[in-house]
Amino acid sequence: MDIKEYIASGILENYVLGTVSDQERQEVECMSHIYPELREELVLLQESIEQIALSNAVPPPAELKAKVMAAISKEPQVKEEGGKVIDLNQADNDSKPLNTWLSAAAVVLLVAVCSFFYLQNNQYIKLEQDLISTTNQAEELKEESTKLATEVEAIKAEKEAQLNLANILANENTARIALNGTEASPESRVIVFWNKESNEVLMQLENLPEPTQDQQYQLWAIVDGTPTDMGVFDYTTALNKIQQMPYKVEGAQAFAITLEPAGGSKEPTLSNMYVVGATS
Amino acid sequence: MQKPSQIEVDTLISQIAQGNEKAFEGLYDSYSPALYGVVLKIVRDEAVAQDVLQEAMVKIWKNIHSFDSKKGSIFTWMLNIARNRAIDELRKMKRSGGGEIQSLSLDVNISNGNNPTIREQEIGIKDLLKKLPAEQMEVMEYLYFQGFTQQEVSDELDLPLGTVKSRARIALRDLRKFFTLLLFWI
Repeated sequence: MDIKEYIASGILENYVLGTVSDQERQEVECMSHIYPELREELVLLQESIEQIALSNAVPPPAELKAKVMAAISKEPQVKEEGGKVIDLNQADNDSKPLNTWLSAAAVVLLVAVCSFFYLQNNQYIKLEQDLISTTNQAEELKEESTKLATEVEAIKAEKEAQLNLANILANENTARIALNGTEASPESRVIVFWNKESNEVLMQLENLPEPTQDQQYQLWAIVDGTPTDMGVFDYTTALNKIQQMPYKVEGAQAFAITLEPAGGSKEPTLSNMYVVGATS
Repeated sequence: MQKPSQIEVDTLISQIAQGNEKAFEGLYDSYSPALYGVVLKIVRDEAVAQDVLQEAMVKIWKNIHSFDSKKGSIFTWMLNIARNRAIDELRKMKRSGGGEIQSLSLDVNISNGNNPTIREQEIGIKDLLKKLPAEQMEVMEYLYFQGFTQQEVSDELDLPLGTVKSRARIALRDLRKFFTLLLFWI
């Protein structure tokens, strides 16, 4: 056994503070019989406790001493049981080899008993560690399930949104408007779905060049010859699905998309118009 | 407080073991302030503390033959007897609901210092104790002076058990370092 590791485990501190289990107490007492360095360590720790007590010293009232002295003079001391006193004469008669054999056996027994305590305690520590790791696993499972629940919520919300889009698309008042590429970008093509009753606007990208990091596409509705902001959109997101624009519009004659600085502009930059399409 | 030398202590113990009451008086004179201080800090009532100290002293006298110097010093042995007795009493008081649980004082030194020589010697230790972080001292207070188990301290202070264990360890280690330094200063 690694005695340094044993000292580092903190069991001695617990022993001197009186916060060990009976099992651990026996173990410490047993081990300190075998390992002198353990005993030295214990003595040093006990001195710390003694110092705490000394720094707390309060003289008791003087009359207490007389009471204590009177109490002890009435109290007989408990002598050690007679059985433990060895008859010296008889001890002398014992043969030396037997004595040696007996003390050797005693040492073996002591080591065996100590090992027993040590192993038993180790097993306990291992069980404790198992418990901690099981608790940790339970924590992880709990986190995992919270995460899954959040994901399920997100999927539900997404499904709700999709259903809403499908309803708008299927509605008889929804017009499908193809926005075709301008001279600057003839290949570009975007489809806008506009519901003339609810005024909701959806958009599907079919083909648009990828913008740079500091640029964003912006959708405009032309109402009475004036461009109205319909919102900017994220290119990558828009590539993959039909998306609903944040603003509604009434009486639009045309829709157009321009490329603007990230965040969008108040007025469209007409030289950067990529697609445009009339509603009728 | 001046601790008697090892030789003086050994002589006292063997005399007490022979039933010498005068020698016991010497032991009382040397250690009763330290024992009383600890007991008083635990039970927080002077009358109760005096009863506890008296019972502890009688137990020490009665059982002096079971003191084993191989297991530790006489002071540690006496401290254990007095502290255990005081903590039993504290638990009894808490159970009967008589003594409301008072908030812990972190001030380790509660000596009233009416003995000037004690006072002077204590200053060094007191200053050193102040160097222990309050959180370590708090854990020590509960463990040593309230007789809480580590689990109980963990519940009481809402700290992980491992933290309680390590604070107790660090506190004792640091105290030991301080006292070693102190020995050189004196």
